[in-house]
Amino acid sequence: MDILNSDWLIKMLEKSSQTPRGRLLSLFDILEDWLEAPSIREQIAGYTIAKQNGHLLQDYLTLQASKANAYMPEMLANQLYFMAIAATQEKLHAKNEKSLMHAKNAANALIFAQTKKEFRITKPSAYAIVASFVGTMIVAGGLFIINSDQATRTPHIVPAEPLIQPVSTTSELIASPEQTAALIAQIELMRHGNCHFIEALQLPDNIKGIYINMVVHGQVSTDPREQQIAMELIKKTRCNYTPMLMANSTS
Amino acid sequence: MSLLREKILSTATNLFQTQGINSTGVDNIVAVAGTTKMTLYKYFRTKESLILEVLQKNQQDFQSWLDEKLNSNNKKPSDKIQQLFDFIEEWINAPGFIGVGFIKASAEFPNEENPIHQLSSQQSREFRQFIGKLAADANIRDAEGLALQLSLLFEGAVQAEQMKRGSGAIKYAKKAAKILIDGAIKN
Repeated sequence: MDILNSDWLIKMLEKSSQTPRGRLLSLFDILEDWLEAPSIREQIAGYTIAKQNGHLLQDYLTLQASKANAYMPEMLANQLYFMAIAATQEKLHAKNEKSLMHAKNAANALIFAQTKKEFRITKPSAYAIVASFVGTMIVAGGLFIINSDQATRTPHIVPAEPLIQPVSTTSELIASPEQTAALIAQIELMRHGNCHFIEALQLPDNIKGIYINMVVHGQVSTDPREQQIAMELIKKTRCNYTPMLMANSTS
Repeated sequence: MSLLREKILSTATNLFQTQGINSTGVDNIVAVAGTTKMTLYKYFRTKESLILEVLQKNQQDFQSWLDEKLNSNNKKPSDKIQQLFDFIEEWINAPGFIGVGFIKASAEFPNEENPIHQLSSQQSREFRQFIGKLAADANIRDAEGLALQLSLLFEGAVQAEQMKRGSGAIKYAKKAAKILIDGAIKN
């Protein structure tokens, strides 16, 4: 009985959840329910639940893993497939009633490890930083006009220091929790100040995108390379942390 | 152990893992080992007894290696469970890795009555008990549950790796194992 590669299972998975991650995890719930159905266990005793060459389920899981933004969808699908077989056999033969529940927990951790996790800053904070950024852009627009006027009259222009230093390559696909926490703390700190980074206008689009998403909107990706770029940009951002009331009273 | 017997065992180990157990005939083993069928049957009564011995030796070798790694430098129990997947990753990524005997045998011999299936199931259980002991020593409350979760991750990653060498499956299994272990230690 090749239940794992049956059309029935694929249909059940398809309608089990709205999200690809949910559909991947439902595999373990559906198998659990199926094994609890009357007389099923007697029918499949002595048979394998999957043929060696069946690919229907693995292909389906690969598609869902890809939709869930897994780093390596086919590999994740294979791992989940083998875990489901092992847990089902454990329940059938070793009479371990919790095997599929434990397999689901392990699968959840594996999916987490394979997919990108984003940490978001609250909306009010994001609005404050966006407002600061937009204001900066208006000022920068004016400065750009003044500078371009001056540039035409300046005979020697000293090349500016590259804004972004080359990023060292790393084999790690996910930034360490410490690195992520440090970046989030830095962004949180910036919320308490009046920050300006007019050079952001001159950044290449991909770098500007990282700045807007991560620093302005607070959508911190776990990609270590992107985090490193964001940190470099933050270092170049000028922030005034004098409380607004105090600043006004001294002027 | 005689040198010839050892040669037959190591040849069979390599061929079973690279070609599959069922696909490897006795003729093939003796040809690669440079011996005769008569000699092979002198040391191993049947092909089945050869397979059983290969499985036992593979598991003993792996378990001894792992014990030595875990018991070096007087590690604390919590360090041992935390480092388990580091060592498994080291072993899988080593150039000589050709798979895990009991996982391959279990897939190739699904019939529960078959002695090869029975031995591979027993080895799988023993390995899980070993993880369970590491978890219990680290004062993890549901040591048995964590052991099952980690062994499923291990077996899933090894099978993915056996399908495609260098897949990187163990890297993500290790990350997932860390999440599960950290969660279990907090509870």
